[in-house]
Amino acid sequence: MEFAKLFELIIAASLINNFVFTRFLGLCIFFGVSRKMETAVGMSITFTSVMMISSALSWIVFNYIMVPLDITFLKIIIFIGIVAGFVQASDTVMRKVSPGLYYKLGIYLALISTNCIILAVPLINAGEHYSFIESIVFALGSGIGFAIALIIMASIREKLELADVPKPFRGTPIAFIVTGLIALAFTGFSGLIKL
Amino acid sequence: MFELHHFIADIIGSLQISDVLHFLVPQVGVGGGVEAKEYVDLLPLIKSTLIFLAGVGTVFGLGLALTAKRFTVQVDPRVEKVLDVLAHAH
Repeated sequence: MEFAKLFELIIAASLINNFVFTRFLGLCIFFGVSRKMETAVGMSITFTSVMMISSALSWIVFNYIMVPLDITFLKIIIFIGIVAGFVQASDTVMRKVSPGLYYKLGIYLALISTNCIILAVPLINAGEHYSFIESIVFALGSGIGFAIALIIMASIREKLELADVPKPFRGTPIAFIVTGLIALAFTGFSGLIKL
Repeated sequence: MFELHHFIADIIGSLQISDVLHFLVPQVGVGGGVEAKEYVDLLPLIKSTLIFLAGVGTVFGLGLALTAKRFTVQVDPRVEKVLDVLAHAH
């Protein structure tokens, strides 16, 4: 396995094809959680770990069960089931094993199970025929990309609270405008890697 | 007249079910992951789909049930009673 290719995969997933700013997925969580820096950081940690584990699980199920049986058309249903089952199980275990972590991150876990980025990553892994390591690295890259987006947005929105925004734009509208501007800026990454 | 039902039985007997489905269901490019095949055998496909979905459902159901049993958190029933009396948002 060449490390250069894996590094390219991380860069491509986190910056060039950033899930929030170029693919515009997962916006509900993005706007809901980016109001404060603390929740943004907690969400991105939970998000990245859940995404890596669930993409590994769904890679195993996809390549060892669904491809030999020739039932790959079921991948959307199965991936939703895998993600939801894993999130529910980890929610139950975390509540017992470490209640402190549960009260910090438990609210995000319920939100994550229906997120579209979490579903998109296994689907892209299956579509691009990534290997096991590549799919985990791709999930890590997309998690980093989501974390970057959340942290940028949270820091801007904390400043926006103090800014003199015209009355009709206060709250969510100005957040959408700012997101559009950052998305324009992220198009500058598009020539970073030549494939 | 009495030979009519022999005739129908002969026709039904000579046809396989998959042959009938071959006419009824479009066979090329069924969509999803079944990528543009000339011919898809529907019966084994449906069979393996049902077995796979039932298996996944059973595994997840049992797994979640066992985890929930193994890692139950005992909540003091008095907590809810006290919370019900106190003022709180619905």
